[in-house]
Amino acid sequence: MLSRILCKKIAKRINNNNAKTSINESLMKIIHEGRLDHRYIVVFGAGWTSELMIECLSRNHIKVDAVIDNSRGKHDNLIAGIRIRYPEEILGVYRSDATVITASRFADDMKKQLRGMGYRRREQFIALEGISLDTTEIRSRWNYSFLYRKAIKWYGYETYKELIEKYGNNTFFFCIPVPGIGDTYIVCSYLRSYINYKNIDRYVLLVPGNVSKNIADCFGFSFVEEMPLNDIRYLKDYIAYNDGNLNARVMHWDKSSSYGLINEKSLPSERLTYLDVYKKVVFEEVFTREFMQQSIDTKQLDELFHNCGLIPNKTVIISPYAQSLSGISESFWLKLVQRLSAAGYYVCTNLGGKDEKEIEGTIPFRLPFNQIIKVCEHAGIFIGIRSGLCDVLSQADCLKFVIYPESINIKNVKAFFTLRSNEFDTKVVEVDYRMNREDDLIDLIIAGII
Amino acid sequence: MINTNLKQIQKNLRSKLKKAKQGKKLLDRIYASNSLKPEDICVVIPKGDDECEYYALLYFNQYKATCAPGLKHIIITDDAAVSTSYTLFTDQILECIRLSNEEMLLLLEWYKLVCNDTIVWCSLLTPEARTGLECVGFSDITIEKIVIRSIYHLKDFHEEKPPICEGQEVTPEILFKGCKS
Repeated sequence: MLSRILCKKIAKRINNNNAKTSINESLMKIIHEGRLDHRYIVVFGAGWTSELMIECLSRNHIKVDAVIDNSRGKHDNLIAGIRIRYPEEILGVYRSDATVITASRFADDMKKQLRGMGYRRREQFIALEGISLDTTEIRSRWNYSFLYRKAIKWYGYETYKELIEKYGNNTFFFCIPVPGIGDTYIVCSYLRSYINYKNIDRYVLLVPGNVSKNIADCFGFSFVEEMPLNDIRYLKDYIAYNDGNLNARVMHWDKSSSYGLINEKSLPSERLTYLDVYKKVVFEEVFTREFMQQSIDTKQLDELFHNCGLIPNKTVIISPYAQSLSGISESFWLKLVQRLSAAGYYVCTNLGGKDEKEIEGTIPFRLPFNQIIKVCEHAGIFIGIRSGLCDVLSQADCLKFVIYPESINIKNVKAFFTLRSNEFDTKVVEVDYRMNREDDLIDLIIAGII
Repeated sequence: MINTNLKQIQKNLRSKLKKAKQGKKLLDRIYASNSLKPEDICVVIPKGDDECEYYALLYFNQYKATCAPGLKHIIITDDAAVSTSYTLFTDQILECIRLSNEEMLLLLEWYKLVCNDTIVWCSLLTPEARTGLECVGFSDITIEKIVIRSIYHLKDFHEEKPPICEGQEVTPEILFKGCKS
């Protein structure tokens, strides 16, 4: 017990000190000092830290005017909806109002490059603290990392021990280590046939949080343990660290925290889809699907629609939010809603998280998983950004448009996350989003509906 | 069902962590003796997966070109074929260090524990929880592609031609039969 408390404290302390917190804190300080007011803001370096910066600035209503990077491979791609340019393209003609901001460990080189282009004033370059690492820092990080990793392995062991003590040593644990709706839905869809194939009698499904538990409940799994996300992540690490020598299996392709070779960011083939990876890596080719149960009948659906003033088959449910993907502008949704309303459709926004707000002119909907499929079928049309909800709605027999924005991290989002692979969803219409071609996309969707 | 004896599992964990610490010390010694900075990179090519070892050497130069200028690279291996023939593939390696199998296991435990950016582990077989091998043979996926895209993370690459040794193309078969530079 003592070691568990100790490990938890160490892990928590280090967790709190991660890059995201560090970037947010540094940026908030800069914003409050007014150093970005009335400036032409350029983010230098197109990587994940820049995505975090853009997200934080956008939350604080600060527009990033440009993103620059020296890499040829990144040029012309999008990051958070902004086109990546070379420094010379954006800053080649001197702009006195430019402030270049970075969270890269190559900040010193960037500074030199910008000075060479004439940007020498203090307010023209900001390198966020706590990100760039010098040699001493890296060395101390090695030691820090050793202590941290050791602590989380012990934490993982203690978690496993508690589970064995609670459920008995003849129980097998299936661990879903990611909080995504889609991942939980897919694991639950194929898990029962895998359990039968493996001849496992006694098992518990470990899930991160109540959303995942709700999904597992809809599939009728009786033994589901809801665990805090960190506990389940450390358990995943521990299971991987034991090379399969435990009564537990990680139900995700990235079984280890960082040494897995197959993930969406470094795919060995552009033809490989996430469902292929699930099939091969997680389910060992045992891939027989079952469907999620719904508990709402036609009478209840009619009542729900009547109370909300909606008409079956004339209602569109839109889903503008996703956990992993972003980059579709709010104006796109506003224009789409206007066009749908003008064509005589009722539009509802499906909301999941607490911070999500309905698109102007739509009716907000917060639908439980045991109703959402039937509600969409009753409505007739679903339009959403690619998210875990689209995996769930793969079961829905209605007109579905799934929109794929571009992403800096994943070369071809649509090719990897396609719902059409393995005959998962044969009815969905998958479309690409390009910021400069929003109107074309809206025309395409409207034409598909009408 | 596998081992559920908690005492035994705990003992295993202690033993693995101890080995990881020894692995760290081993790597520290290698870095110190080669005057490497902590951010310099070691490419580890363990014995046991000939094809992966071969492609790790074949695409090393392209990988190095993507790294920040000034970073030094060493190869660590427990395979004699790699340590004797790496010069056929590259002249951009500071040093190739040959470890014993036991030392390589210690290094593996350290890598499994910490897995930082400065170690590039070129194997599809180890660490055991590593995913990737399951996908070989599916669609157009080969070990070569996994090395290029998933181990070296090369986005823009060109197909590398095998080096020539004694008038013959060095293929994986020839390399592991003992072609010496």
